[in-house]
Amino acid sequence: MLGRLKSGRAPEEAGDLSLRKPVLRVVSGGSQQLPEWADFRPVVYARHPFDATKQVQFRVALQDVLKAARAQLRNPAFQLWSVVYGRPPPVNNVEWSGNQPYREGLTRLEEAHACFKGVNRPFAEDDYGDTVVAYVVKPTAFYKFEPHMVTMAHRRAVPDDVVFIAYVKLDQPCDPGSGQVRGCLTHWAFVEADPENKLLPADFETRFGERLW
Amino acid sequence: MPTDYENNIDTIEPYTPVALYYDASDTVEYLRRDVPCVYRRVDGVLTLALDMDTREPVGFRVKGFKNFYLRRIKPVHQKLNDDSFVHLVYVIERLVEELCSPIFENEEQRLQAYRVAAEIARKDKVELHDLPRAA
Repeated sequence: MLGRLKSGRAPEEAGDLSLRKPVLRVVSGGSQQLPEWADFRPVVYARHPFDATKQVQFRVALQDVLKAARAQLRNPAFQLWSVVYGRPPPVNNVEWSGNQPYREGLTRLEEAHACFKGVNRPFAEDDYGDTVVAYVVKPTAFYKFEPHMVTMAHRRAVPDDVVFIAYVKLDQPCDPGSGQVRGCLTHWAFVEADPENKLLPADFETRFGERLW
Repeated sequence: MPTDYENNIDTIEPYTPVALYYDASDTVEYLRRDVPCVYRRVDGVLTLALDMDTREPVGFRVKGFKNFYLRRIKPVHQKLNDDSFVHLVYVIERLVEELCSPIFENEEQRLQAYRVAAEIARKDKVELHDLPRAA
């Protein structure tokens, strides 16, 4: 496109910076600077799905929680912070007296006490959801989005009949014996707990393929 | 793709109920309110969203949506493109058809959950603009 200069040299050889081809760089996230509470961590740590004594790292599907936030749905984001990352959402005045003790009862994905494989439903190209693992966490508190004069993040108790599930779609091929299991945290939610075992989700025996640990 | 629901993420405005397609989880979700929810799995396709405080149904999720949409919805409405929308009540009705009424005859609870989701979709005239692409 730039052609050759009269000297016969290519513009990039001539040293004229204005004529050099631009160096293209990928900038993720677009030009809009995100507020701190929407500037999510791109990775999260968890116990290895096939060996609970080891730790692995998963990517986080940020595009969906950002889509929800842009549509003014902020509770998914606040649950990501307080139940998956294990810290209060970084918003103004989150440490106000009404939220004290402001870190108590929160959990991290690493603290999952159960892990299941297979969600018994189509999951994109996976007809049966066999490549999905579900981590179960039992926080006693989380942060809720609620506009307020002091702060928009409010710590509240989790009902006892509820657990939290975080779903990870494992990259394929996946070698269960390998320490290099990779995947993406796709979504998360509070669900009703099993009436007989409040640490596990309701109908855990039928909603999942198998329990890993 | 229409993005009229996408506001500046930094501005706090009241949530206007909208159906959203989440690509990573291949799920369509509609919520009437931005409140903490407890999700009740009905089956492999439908999950109801209940207000955590009142346990009142405030929305639903249709899971595995992309496959169902491309297989059952788009072929019937071949003019659907990226700028189109589909009424979610129609989607739920097709789901009930596909899952077969004989199953529901013996599962009143499950059928009732589908009725709840369909009623929410019908009453709120829920439209999904953010249709999944084939590729």
